[in-house]
Amino acid sequence: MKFLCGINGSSPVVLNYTGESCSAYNSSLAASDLNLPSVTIAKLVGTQTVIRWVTNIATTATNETYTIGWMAPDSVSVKVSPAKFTIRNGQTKVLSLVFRAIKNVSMASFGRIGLFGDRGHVVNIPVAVIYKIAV
Amino acid sequence: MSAPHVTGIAALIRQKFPHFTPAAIGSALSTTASLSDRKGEHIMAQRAVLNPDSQSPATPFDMGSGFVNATAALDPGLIFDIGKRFLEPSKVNLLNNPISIIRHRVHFLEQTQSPEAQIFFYLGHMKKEKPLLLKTTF
Repeated sequence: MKFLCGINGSSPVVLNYTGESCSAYNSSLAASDLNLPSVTIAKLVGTQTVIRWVTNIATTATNETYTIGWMAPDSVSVKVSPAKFTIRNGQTKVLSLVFRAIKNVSMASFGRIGLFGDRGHVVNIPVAVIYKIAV
Repeated sequence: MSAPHVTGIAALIRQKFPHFTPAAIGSALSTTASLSDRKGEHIMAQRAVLNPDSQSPATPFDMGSGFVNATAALDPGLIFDIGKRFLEPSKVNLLNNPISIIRHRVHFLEQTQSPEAQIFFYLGHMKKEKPLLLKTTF
């Protein structure tokens, strides 16, 4: 809801279709912060941090340790922390993805971030960065 | 023709994980998608409408997260979930829930279609039965 209300001019539409008023949400969610299994940054100026949170859906009492690797898009440096974490069944972990523009480029470039679990799970998310402006 | 396939696999995910939110189902489909084709090479995308041989490696704007993988999607390991606020695990029921946000990702794979990745956000208010389709094209 924070995301929908954050879109300029959406309040009447949101009220009409959900019956909820946007005034209850005094903070908005930027498009890049919506917890989607992908990262798209339309305009990267200098450094930007994007938050993602993942939940372990295992039903039995297990621990899985994930190691994170990434392929940075062209002209962008990527850093994910934590780069390695252990997560229990039902637990949620917050990941901090830091993107930094290295060069001024207006063409879209693409990369990937992969989480590799020691129980064999592979979680892959695409990264797209369009405008890059180095600061 | 990918939409009906993906919808069917989404139904299988829902059957196995009844408490999953629509966002969780979408996450399971996306994070487990395959980036290589049947030959084991990177997925290719046609660049010129009238020339099927004009192919170059597909980008996320062409193919989204890749080719859906049903077996892998049923064992995703981790999910990226959105908004636990109005969808509690024990009460999720897409038909009775007042707000359902369902994300469909359509891949245009046929050579006659232009390679475009589109994400549709479908916001349905079940009480008013007035679906609103918000279409975002990347």
